[in-house]
Amino acid sequence: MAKNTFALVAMAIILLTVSLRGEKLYVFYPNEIRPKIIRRQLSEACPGIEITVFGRYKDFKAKVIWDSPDAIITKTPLIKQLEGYNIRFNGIRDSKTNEHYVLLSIEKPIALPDLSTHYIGTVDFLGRKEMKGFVENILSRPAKIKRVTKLEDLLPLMTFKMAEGILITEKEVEYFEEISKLNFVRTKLKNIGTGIVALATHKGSKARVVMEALKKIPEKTNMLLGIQEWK
Amino acid sequence: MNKQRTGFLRLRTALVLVVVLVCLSASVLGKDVLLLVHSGDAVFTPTIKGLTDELEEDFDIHHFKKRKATVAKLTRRIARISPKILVLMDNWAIGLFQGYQDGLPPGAFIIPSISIMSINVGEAISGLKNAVGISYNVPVVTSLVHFRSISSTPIKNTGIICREVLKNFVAKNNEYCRAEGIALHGVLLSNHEKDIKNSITRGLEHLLKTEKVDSFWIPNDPILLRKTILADVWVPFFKKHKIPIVVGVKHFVAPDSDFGTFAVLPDLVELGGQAAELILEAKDNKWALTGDKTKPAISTRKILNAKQAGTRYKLKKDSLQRIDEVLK
Repeated sequence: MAKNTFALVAMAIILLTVSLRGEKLYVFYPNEIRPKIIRRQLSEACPGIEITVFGRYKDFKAKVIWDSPDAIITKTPLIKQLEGYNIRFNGIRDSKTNEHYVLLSIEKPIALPDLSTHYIGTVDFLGRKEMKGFVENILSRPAKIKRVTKLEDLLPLMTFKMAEGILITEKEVEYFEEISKLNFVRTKLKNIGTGIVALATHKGSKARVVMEALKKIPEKTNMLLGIQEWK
Repeated sequence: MNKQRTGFLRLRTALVLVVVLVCLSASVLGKDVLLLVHSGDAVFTPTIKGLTDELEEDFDIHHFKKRKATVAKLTRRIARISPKILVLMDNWAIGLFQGYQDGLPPGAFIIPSISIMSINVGEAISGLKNAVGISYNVPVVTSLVHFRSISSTPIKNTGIICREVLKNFVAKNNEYCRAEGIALHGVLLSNHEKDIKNSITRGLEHLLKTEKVDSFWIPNDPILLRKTILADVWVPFFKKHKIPIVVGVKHFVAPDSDFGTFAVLPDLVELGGQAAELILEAKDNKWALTGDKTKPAISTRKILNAKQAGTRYKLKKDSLQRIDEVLK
């Protein structure tokens, strides 16, 4: 009898803890804004949600697999890599959910046929093998890549000629033009574009609080994720 | 019957253990061996994490630590595990591996090595063959461009006082800075300056009044930045002349120190990541290391002395979002 009572009490405590636990949202969006700034502003905009913002792909992926958070916000191609998450909202910028990539170099454009002998810098958001595949898909040819974690780290790759150029989104070009006086040249690429950022929920979670909160995030906070609104 | 059953269970357990061991060995056998040579100090932990995060899937990573390390022990370890590449962390590791290379017979295969977290890495690895190093000093241009990106105060002429030992480093950075629209104005002191305090003072006055610099970059030179010189020369000068100072050490931007404005340090985790990329490139290149022997550190951490905002520099709107640490 005592054993049964103990088991019932323990079960009740566990259920209560689970029901009181806030929904978990994990975020990974590599850009020039520090993760703690994104976390602070998102937490202010989304009270009651346990928000963690990651600066590195490896750390984000490992924790998502380990913790299975209720929802994640990250670059759309990465969501497709993670099992058990369904996209519920897409980020929108200038009325579009997709963004296009360009090659940025110094002084002269990159001759695409020469790419097999030169390195292209890129921010890593898919892991080594998948990032290479992503880049080669965008460029429609084999490529050698140098990966960095932070957007600003792409500039030294070009300054010190460790990469012939960098592969970035069209929006990110303005960041480099803002911080550097180097003579940048864009090589336009024929690519259909990829999703900017998306929110996905875990198949085992409704993530109601997260979904409701998302609609109320102010534009200035959404801008930290490179978008204006969610749809 | 019981005896038979027990015997069968023992045999089954033994077979399961054998299968597990074989699988584990197979997963290790397919991987190249990487040997990390380091002291085991906690200071190396973030860099080792950055390195192993990237490489643990493809490499069997071994560690060789400082305690009672000798060239003979390193030689035996290398012979036993046959690493494809070594990572040497700190100057003593480079010295140890130099001893190993010096003992090789002519024509012997030279295992490639990548050196990180050492002082004057270029000089330290100058005797090593098939070797590259990543400098622990953040390039001047990287530091200044980062500071300029957060400051609305123009950064066009930067003063540097340094000893002759850094002459080439400064000259090289002058080219990069010029491309970014920043002119470096240098005052070179002798490596063994006799009256160092007065020499620094004269140098500072010259850079400010004659060259009209709008900022300073201070190298991580323990000789120039001795406590007494800091207290008697640097701090009083910059208390009087409110000019932003970019440094490479965190404690110089502590608000109480009333010295540095902005510190740019290597990001230690990403330093490991950068070394990992070099290793993967070497693997693709049949273990030959190419390009410049000394590579600059790419990724940095930025720390701002916010107490000086408004007096020595003006912050751009929203620029704090790009800073790793803001000290108030």
